[in-house]
Amino acid sequence: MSHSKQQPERDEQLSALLDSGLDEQQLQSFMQDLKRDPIEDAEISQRYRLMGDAMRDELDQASFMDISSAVSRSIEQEPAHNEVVTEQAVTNTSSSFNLGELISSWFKPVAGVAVAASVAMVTLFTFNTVNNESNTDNVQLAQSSTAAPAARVSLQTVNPEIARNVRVASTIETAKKSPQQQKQLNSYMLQHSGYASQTTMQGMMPYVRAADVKAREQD
Amino acid sequence: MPLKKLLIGLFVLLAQNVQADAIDNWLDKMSQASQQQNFQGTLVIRQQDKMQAIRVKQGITSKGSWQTLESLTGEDQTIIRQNKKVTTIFPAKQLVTISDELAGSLDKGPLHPALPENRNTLKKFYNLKLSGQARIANKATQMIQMIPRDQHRYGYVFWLDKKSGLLLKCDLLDEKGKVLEQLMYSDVELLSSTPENSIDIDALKAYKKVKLMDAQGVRQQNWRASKLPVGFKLIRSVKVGYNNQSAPAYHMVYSDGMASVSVFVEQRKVIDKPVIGLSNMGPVNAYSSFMDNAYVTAIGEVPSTTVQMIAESIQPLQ
Repeated sequence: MSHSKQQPERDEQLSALLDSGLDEQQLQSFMQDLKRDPIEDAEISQRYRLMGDAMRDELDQASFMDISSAVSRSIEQEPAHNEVVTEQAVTNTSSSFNLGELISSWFKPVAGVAVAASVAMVTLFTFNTVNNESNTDNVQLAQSSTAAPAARVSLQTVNPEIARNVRVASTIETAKKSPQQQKQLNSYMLQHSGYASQTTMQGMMPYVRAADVKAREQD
Repeated sequence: MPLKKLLIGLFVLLAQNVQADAIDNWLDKMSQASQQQNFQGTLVIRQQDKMQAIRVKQGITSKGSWQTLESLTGEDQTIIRQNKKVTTIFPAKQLVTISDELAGSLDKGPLHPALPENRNTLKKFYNLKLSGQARIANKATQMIQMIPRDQHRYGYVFWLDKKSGLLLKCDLLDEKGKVLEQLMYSDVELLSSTPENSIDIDALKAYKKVKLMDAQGVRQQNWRASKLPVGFKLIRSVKVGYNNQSAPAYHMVYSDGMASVSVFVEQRKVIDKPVIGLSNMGPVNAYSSFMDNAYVTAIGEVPSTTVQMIAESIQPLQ
């Protein structure tokens, strides 16, 4: 692929074109170059249009669909900032980017739960639950199989259930894990989450669970 | 008398069939809504003593679907899923990660838990039944219970918007019926067109960008679980270069279509301070132990007894 102009210069021209900042001569020059490399320029064009739209707050649904391709292209075209990380590298402590450090603590000792904060959150949630469920029928969880334990959850009495969870959570004895051990579990969790979200019907929940990582880290 | 018993039996059978049809209709409606409904809302998630709020948007376009999950509590981060790509933005770290989901995965994977199309198979392991009605996010909902037929998996309760079928609340219940994880919309807006997104694409230009690649394992099975809950099948078994070790490592995934358990087997000679025993993160349990000179960890959104049972049953293939 031959270029009559350096790539950054062409990109700059294209960006200016999309923002209507090129004069006639520049436009002609650019169109000549465009003919030489229509595919690549079309992709760059799309990328800059996307950014231009975003700046003008005019991002439509079609361009929104190209966010990840824009990011991908950006990754490919910015070698100085590019770090392609495999799972192997992610779990390697000597890697320049370590996802295990980024999301350092998925598995925290349950005994370390801050009970006061827990109660506050439970109270908040309970309030919502009671309001929403005040006229709800009980949920019967009777098992059809004799092998399974029968259980019954009353949504009207969900507060004690939640409170019980909190008490259990604060009293379970779980051995404290070193940062290295947590990284080890994190790396397993990462791999599992990727497959759980795709090969089962858990949907986006593994990703949602990941969103809680930082909050746990700050406990 | 025999005639009366026969009539009662027929009535019960008829009633069961009517309910089964009604459940299937509701689940069809839920499935359609999860794949075809534009909406935005605030999702509140509770795991044990933790609670977080996420702004959720789903758009359906001619090119496919996209979802954004924007954290409203804790660290500021946004997850964008577009068809097979998952992009995560960490503004505080000025970091963007992007990963491709597995080739051959579900192109239109659901945002929330949903049921696979082979419901008849799933019904062997879960009892589905219609329950009461409730009001969630100011909308009337129909409740459906999904009760495991044994103690090896969790149960679910779904609350579906009566009008659209959209899942507005979901409880994940442990084997004793306690709520392990709860998702509930505090508000939701059904839209006739794709919602506007608030992603500042321009700001991403200055961010560090990291592409996360799937570990390209070689399909190979050297180990097997001799004890599995009924219905769990091996859906992946690969040899991977794990933890940058030269010793072989294996990743197996077992699933009943709803829940899944990953099993990792590492044959390193030396593992420094390995995790042994049970760990948990919300509804996800893990159990690690040494089996046949290999370090085994089973991890999944199933009861702790299930991951322990599976991990302890890992054997080398003869």
